[in-house]
Amino acid sequence: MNSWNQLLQNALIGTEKKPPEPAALSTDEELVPALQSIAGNTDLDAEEQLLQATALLFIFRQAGQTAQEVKEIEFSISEAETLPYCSAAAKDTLRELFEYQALGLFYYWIRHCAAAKRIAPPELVPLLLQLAAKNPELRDPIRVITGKRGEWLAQLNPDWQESKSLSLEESWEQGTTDQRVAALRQQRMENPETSRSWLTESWSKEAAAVKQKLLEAFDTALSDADLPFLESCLKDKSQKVQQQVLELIRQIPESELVSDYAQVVRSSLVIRKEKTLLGLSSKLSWEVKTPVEIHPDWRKQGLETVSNSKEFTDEEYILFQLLHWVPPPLLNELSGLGTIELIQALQKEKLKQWLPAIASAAVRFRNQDWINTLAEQSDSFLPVLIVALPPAKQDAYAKTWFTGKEEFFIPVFVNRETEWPAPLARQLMNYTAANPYQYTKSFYQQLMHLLPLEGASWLDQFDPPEGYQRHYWQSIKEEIQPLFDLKKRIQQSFNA
Amino acid sequence: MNFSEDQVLALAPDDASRKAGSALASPGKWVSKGKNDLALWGECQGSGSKPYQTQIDLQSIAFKCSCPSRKFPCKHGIGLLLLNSRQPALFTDAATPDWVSDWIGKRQEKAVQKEAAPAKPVDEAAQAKRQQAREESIEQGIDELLTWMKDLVRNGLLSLPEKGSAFMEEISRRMIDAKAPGLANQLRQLSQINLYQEGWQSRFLEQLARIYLIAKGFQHREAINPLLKEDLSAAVGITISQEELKQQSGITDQWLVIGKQLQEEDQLTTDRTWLYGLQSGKYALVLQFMVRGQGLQFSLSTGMLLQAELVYFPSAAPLRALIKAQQPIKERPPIKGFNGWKEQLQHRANSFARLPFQLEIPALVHQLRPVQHKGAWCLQDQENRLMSLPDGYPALWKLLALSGGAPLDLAIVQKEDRVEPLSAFYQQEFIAL
Repeated sequence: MNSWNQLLQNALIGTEKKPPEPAALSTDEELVPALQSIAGNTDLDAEEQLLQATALLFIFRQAGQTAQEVKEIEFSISEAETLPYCSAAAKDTLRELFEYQALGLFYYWIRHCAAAKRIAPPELVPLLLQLAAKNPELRDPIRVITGKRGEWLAQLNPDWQESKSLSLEESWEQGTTDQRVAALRQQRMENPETSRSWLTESWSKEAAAVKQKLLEAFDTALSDADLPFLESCLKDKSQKVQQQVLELIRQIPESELVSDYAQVVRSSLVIRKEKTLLGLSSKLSWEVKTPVEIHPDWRKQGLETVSNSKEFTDEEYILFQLLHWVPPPLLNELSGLGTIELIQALQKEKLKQWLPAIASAAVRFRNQDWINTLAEQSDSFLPVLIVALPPAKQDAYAKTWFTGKEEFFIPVFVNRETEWPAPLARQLMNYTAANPYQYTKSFYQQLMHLLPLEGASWLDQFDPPEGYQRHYWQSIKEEIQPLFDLKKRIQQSFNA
Repeated sequence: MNFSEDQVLALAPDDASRKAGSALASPGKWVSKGKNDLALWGECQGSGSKPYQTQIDLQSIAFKCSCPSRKFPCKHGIGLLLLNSRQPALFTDAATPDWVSDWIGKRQEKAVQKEAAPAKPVDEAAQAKRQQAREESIEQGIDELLTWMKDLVRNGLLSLPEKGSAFMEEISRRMIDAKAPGLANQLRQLSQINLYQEGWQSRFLEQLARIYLIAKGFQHREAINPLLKEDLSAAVGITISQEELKQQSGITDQWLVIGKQLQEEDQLTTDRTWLYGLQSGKYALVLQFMVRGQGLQFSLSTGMLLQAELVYFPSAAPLRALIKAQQPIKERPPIKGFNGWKEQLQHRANSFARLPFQLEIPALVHQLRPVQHKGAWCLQDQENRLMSLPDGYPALWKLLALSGGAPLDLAIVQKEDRVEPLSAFYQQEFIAL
């Protein structure tokens, strides 16, 4: 034991029980004479001896500090970057973004940086990796702009491990549930057969909640080849899993279930174009033949047999539900009419109440022709269509229907990846500004990447009707004005 | 001087001012703006009818604004300086408005008057009497402190965790009564050691030894060299007049700001700025105190280079200093630091030989590489020697990101056996860590 530890022991136990012993304080050769002289001084009591020796050793330890020499340390070095760093101006905007925490502008910055084939400066990489750890949707884009330094840092910090790139197989085998779903979805696009074999092998070992998550990946590249697997899952122990599988099967036109539904529709619905009395024009006849025969299992699967709408009789209501689950071209087949003609006729004959079911089926079976035609031809608002329309057609649909139906459009529009067209953005902001308690500062912070720069000049023009709303909007406006300015500087910094 | 955005933001007194200042760094917010060699100014439209007049003395980096904010610098000052660093071309107006020339004129006048002002007559006899009374009071306090320390080691430190914090707070308060606030502060540091953390025993004994050295040294101050006596006086808490200190001539050099630390305690923020003299090779620590985010005489941030005269507080190993006069400069000559731990530790040993109870020693060390060894983060020099970083060092990831596993020149401050990096020299500039 060295002299310091010896003294430490004396101090811990107390000099009353364990006074310092001169002989024990001789391990540090250079200090022996001084320590011995303290210990041998009979004028000093044990406590004073201990404190003096401690003070001496304290200075000795502090002044005589050495650095440990370690020849071989295995510590990796980051690979050299292959892309240049962003400009100083772009770096400044990124640092400022961390002050504002405006998620939408992070998307914007990251997208500009990736498009310019630049990477973030190393001193901001840890903050970006932290951001990626909190926002899984940003992981992939951030991986691109943090370069080799980001990869290297992620290996050193377990909290950032998810930020490092894993192969599809690795993500499937070792990843979190979200990573596994993403890998499965990717694999379904690239190689659906492999994705099915992954799932078939692991299915029995997965928990019900995980199964539900994994089934979400089936909305990508769903086809009749998935049927054997899905049908085998209908006997799963979990009711929720069963219901989810059923919904997927209902999206596959080749499935036995969908063809059974179609069979019932064929035998119960008669659509004819008939001449009017004078024979000068024609009208559509839409006749439901009763009884509508259904399979007993369908009730267990959620089919209602009693109408909850005054627009439908019970039999009609069964048919209305079945129309949700059959591909819309069946109606072309039954009527012998083209899609435009059929939709126009349905409106003329006051049969509009059937349109929501047809629209839902068009979306379910991803029938883009029917989706677009319904959006263009129907004079009823069919909210289910919005999400299935391509952006340009969404804009056109909003032009007709936005006012008064804002709450149907906003949830869809916030998921856009590109900026909203200016007229639409203005209309949308006019609405959100009038509802400042619902659409607070954070709404704009999340969506700044979607708002066009000219939005800054509109802020003063929005004027909520009530005084209390005006006051709150004023405070929101002050918070978001600098975000527009920052967005402009981000754009300039990458364009310079 | 052109400030980088980092440097401007580092001047903000708190996060809220930093954010609000950033929001004001937009041309549309300023009704007028201008600049010349002496000052930067602008008028910002606030909520009132009259715009706020914001002005910055560019020679000695001081701020003034007509807004009612009690923060210093206010968001307008930060915003204006930030706008200038982002878009200097916008500041085209060089004709100084009256309100700016008045302020700058008054500042210059004041500085001249201060230099020319005759020293107030001092009643030396009364001063000596007061000094003697205070020293007697401190000596009585030290007698009690030494008795307390002896009791402590007689009964053993193992019983400390049971005694609770009141045991040490009481003796600390007694030192305040004895007019020895420096000793009270040392005892407070002793009470802040976590007695439930591994290794507390050694840390506690080391701090006890430091207090013992100061106390005993003060008792025997007449027998030791005058500079060390000054250190002992400062350590027990006897302050010296900063005005008197400023009358002395100092060291004029190009001083590089190598690090900045903020410590907050009881609504008092201590701004600790570490400087390195490029010609003299000397290190300095400038302390400034702020109450609730207000008023710093000098606004300095890491990486800034100043042409300044510094006066050191008298000490056997001078470190704490006052800035007597300063102005920012642009060109930085090459920097000479220590080549590895051996040189730095030798410097430290020499410093300890002169002043045995000092706590922190700064240094610029070339080519240090952050590495992990046996689960702990260390800095490795070119000769494979390691020194440990403090546990939970907050800027670890920023340091690693800058290094990428390669060596960097670092400004560090060593406390006990741990070294804390303050800033890193990266791509020709010092970046605060």
